[in-house]
Amino acid sequence: MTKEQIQEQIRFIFNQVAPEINFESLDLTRPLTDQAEIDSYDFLNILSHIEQRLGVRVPDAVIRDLPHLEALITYIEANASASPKEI
Amino acid sequence: MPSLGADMSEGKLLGWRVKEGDWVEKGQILAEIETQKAAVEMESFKSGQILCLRAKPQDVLPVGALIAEMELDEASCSSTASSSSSISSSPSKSRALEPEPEPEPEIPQRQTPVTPPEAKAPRPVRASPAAKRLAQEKKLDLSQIQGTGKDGVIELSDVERFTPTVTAPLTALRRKAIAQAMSRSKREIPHYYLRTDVRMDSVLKQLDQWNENRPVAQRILLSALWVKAVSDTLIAFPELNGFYENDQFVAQAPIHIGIVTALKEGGVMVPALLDTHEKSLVQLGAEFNDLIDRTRRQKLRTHELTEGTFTITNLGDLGVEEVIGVIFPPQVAILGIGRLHKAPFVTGDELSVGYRCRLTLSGDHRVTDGILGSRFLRRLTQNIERIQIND
Repeated sequence: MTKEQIQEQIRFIFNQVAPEINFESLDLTRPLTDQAEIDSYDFLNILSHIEQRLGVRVPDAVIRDLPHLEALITYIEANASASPKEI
Repeated sequence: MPSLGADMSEGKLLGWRVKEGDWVEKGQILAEIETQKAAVEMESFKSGQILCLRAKPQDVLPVGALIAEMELDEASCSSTASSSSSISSSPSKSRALEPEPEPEPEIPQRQTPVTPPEAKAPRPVRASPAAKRLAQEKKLDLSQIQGTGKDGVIELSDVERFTPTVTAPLTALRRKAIAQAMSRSKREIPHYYLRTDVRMDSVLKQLDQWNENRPVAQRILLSALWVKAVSDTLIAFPELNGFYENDQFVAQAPIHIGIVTALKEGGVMVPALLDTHEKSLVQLGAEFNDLIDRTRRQKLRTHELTEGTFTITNLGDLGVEEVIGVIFPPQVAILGIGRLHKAPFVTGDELSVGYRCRLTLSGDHRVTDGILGSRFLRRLTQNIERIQIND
């Protein structure tokens, strides 16, 4: 899966879990918490969707130290399956 | 009309979930009621048959007003009810260690622990194929729609007529309700404040190991772990778990932890996780996630809003280092939790870096003092650092 495909999947997931956040306005290279209000419960849902759609289970320890969404996309790219679910 | 809070004077009946003639079981949802703070589901305290629905949807009625009549079945009448909260008088919930009798409500509410989410059977929904198709197109929840077909089947016309409850943005009324509660707290409660820092490395390592090989949806959040640790600590500090009313403090035997929860549309609600002292961390983890989900969908049960005995406010996700909470009356304490972040620690002459979290206890000085509060924080710190995560 390419980074662009992953980003598109994450955009879709955000729209499902946190529709109040305008994903297109996010700077993926800045900390998410600096740009949007998202709590641990919402993020758990996002990770659950990532696991279901992309087949990647992101550990808590990885999430805790991720600086921004770009880093998450990079992690997923390195661990994703070849066939994500269609949007 | 039940009383769902000290500051509630009236409520709006949003809709009935039962019809006249229906047989209902204890705990079954009877209606949806809107207050200044939220829409909640009202449960039946006992089993029986609905005789008459007096109130109509959209009726606004004062607390204590008759909204329906119900004939209780014999088994239900003969069972010894636990001390119940009155639906016509005020507050929560002073369920003392030695309960006082209260008047039998018209539609009694059941005060029972929440069963784990996986144990609940879904409410059966029967609908015609046409009704199902239309509901899907309109993205409607069939369980919200009253069926008028034979045996309560939802028909196409029911879906066409249905108007979903729209969650209103934080209204002036809701803000006023919050203002009243907080003003009362600051006016009546002489607060004291204590702060401590907790090193979280060992507990995070345990939590990471527990969550690592589990599906994300089954992970335990750190917030649930705090609930467990606080609950275990409160067992030894009953002076912090109870209500101050009528110039006296009454400790509560059960521990129901209120969780300050932000709503997407603004404002907060404080639903309670019930009987936390009796539950494992795994069970609390699942119930915590379920509670947050239902709070945001405004699908709470009445007793979840009225029975909190102690409250946790965790604003760490929003980046604040310290939260100095305002006590929710008639409770007598609240714990604030700040953000989890890396910080320097000094042990002896050694400097190291680890994860830190700041806790702030706000206590009611009419009931406790800084000495007891300090002992509570010290014990809580020990409990969180030594917590064991297992099935």
